[in-house]
Amino acid sequence: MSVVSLLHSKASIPEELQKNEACLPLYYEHLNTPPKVSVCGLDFFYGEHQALLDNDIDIAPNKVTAIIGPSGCGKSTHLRVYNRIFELYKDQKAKGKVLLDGENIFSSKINILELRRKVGMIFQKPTPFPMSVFENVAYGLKLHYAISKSEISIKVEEALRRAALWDEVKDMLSKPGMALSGGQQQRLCVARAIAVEPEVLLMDEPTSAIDPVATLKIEELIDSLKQKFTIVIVTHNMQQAARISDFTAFFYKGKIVEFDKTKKIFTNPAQKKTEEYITGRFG
Amino acid sequence: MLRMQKELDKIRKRFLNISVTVEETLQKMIRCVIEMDRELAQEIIMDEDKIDKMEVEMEEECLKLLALYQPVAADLRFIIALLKINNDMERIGDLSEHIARRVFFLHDKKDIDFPFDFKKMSSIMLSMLKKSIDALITLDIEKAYEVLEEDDKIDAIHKQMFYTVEETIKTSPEKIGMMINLVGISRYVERIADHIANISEDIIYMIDGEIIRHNRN
Repeated sequence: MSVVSLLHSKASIPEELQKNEACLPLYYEHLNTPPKVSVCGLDFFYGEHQALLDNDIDIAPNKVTAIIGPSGCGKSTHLRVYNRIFELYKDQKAKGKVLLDGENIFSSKINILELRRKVGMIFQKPTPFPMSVFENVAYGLKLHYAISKSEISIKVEEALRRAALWDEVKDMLSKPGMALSGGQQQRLCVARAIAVEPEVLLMDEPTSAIDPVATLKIEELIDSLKQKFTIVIVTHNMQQAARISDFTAFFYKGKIVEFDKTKKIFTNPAQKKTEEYITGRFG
Repeated sequence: MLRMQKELDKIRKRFLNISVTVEETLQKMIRCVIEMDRELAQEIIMDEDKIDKMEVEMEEECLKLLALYQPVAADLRFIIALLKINNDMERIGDLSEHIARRVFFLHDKKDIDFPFDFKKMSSIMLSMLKKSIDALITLDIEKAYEVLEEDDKIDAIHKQMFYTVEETIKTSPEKIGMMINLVGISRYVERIADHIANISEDIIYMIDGEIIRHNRN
């Protein structure tokens, strides 16, 4: 790939990555810490159809990585591998390696429930559960931790505050989550996802179904959340990718065409295809 | 064709109009100085107003494009470069006017003795402008770099001029008034060349995405 020149000195690259040369090219020199997620030679199949081809990418910790590309290029498919959520569907399979903190998520030693706690996901449309605002956030906590009611209350408030929703819902915690506005529902989903203290947050077009004001709130939220979490966001909105992400990957026909710092991608991309896509000449 | 591409074509044409006007003004200015022609000086002053108006219109169009289309990559670099080049073109118009005003002081003087080779200096300056416009139209980065080299030649002529002026003032102190105006002309030509060099640097950024402004070497 074009970013080979940005290779870090091998000495500071974690041992498990050094073993696999394929993982090295996307390791950025300015990162002093190992990648949070390292994807090596990932292929993905819907039955016979291959949707991802040999994806290699390193996701930097505590940064926002945006995935852009035309419809059907494999953005969401790629994201859905990180917490193995695709396994809920028949005839879908992934090949290759996805290392979370150096550990392959496809390893038989992995506890799938624990993986999904570590790697939270927020979808395109807000998906509050048919229960109260409080219960929506407490649900995951009860599932993953054996903690007291008072501890749950504290963690629910903390999650709602972090999701910048507390002030708006503190007096209506017992009301149905479905009764909130679209933007509030999406922030409720963020609160639900971060309540269980994940390490990586996957966002699949989190603002495509909400209005511009709510979108800005979510973007502000993403910016504040990256202090604590590693965020990977799929977005169709290129301006959004440019605004909120540190790194951007451009996908086309299941392949990663270009992956670089967002500033570079949006001012001077190395690949012609990326240039054509982001300037609206195709797609 | 996409709407934004049409808009980009429009500002490209607008830029060509400004370039042609600035180039014509420079040609007039050169003739005006060589022939010490007051009428031409008057025309240059009027051209300057025209360039100012074109500059404002161009800036408004670029800002409109930035606000409405949020361009990225090559399109963004093109608009940003044009915005800056537009500003340099306007400054070249201003400096041509300054030179024209010197002609009002000099036109009735006998035996004007240039302390530098004005014809050579101005011909390099004009060739720089033509090359930089050409570089922008044809996206020829080599040409843009050639312009930067030529700027060094202008700087050398300008620097050499000071020694000649010093000698002239010593030997013919009555020529001080004339020399002050001629030094002014040399200085303005040198500054015009600097603006053209800026234009070339912006063209290099536009083509390559690399800002070379403070580390040309």
